Amino acid sequence: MNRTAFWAIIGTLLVGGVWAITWMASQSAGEGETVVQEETAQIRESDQVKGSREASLVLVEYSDFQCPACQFYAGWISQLAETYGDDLAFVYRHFPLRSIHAQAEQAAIAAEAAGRQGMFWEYHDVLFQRQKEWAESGSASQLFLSYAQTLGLDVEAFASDMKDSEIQDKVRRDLAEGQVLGVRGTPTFFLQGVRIQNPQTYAELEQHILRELQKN
Amino acid sequence: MLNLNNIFFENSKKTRGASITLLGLSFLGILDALYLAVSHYRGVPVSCEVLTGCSTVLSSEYAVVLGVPLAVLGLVYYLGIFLSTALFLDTKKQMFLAVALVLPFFGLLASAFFITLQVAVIEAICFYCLISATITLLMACVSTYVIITGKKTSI
Repeated sequence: MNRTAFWAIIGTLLVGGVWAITWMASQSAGEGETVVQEETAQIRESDQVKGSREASLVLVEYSDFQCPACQFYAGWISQLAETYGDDLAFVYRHFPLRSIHAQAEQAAIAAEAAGRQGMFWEYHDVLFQRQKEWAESGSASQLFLSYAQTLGLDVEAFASDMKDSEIQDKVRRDLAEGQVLGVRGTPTFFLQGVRIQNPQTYAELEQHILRELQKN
Repeated sequence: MLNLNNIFFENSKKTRGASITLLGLSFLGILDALYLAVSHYRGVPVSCEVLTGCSTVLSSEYAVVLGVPLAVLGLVYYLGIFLSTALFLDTKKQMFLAVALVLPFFGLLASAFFITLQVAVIEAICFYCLISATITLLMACVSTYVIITGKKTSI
């Protein structure tokens, strides 16, 4: 076999392999949107949950505190949680888009640090309400401390928890898992483990919940 | 010390056969690692029908080392063996054969570590990681065979 033929075979193998594998991966992406993702159908002990952990419905959101759309949906989610109380468990998982939102990861860590003192949801609300303030600030970390103080948290413990590798790992684990589950942007919702398209109206979001409640 | 002169010149037929086997095995390794790497960067779940632990393993904190997914490191490793073997078959330069013969032993150590991690710490097994470990084990066997038969001939 001459050299040209040899390298032509090697090149064809590599190019063909890359093409075939990329095609296969895109096929499984299509399947991923309709199958139940067990990781989003069950509540983990480390999850931040609004509503009852025993609820029959589990709605998981992969979210980013610095994302304006997530801020928008937070209002609807809050309304949903109030209306459906014990029937719905809303799980907040972190998906900080670090490449476009410089403060998002620190914000997620701050919320988890507040969670250590039982104030995750209160801190979550403050982060969304004041999103513009800290997102555009050059000293977001100072603002995170001041929010903790306003909520009456033990600021010293909060600051120390923000440096805790366990909390940082949790945020990164949520992000990595989201990527594996096919999350590409925020917010991304999974209802009973099935990904749903972001609803355009509150009524549309509520319809999803009602449909699942009827099944149960 | 491994005497590559003896391996190649005394056993050219065997070495050629072993090199082609390494080429084939490393190509399978490339496909396996490429699938995981593409799935990682496209953010899509892998198709995991044989064992169910893929998502658990691939979303664990151990799946990324210093910001680089292990799948990408695996891809570089298999590409290294594949290209070294191809270059050896083309140029007959022993340096390339040495790289292709030695790399699988590092791969074997890494595979043993990651399988232990999956069983003992993550408590889930990823099917694609098992395929990779099997390929690496076979490549290490081929390398051992080439080295041992080369040594025997050189005595």
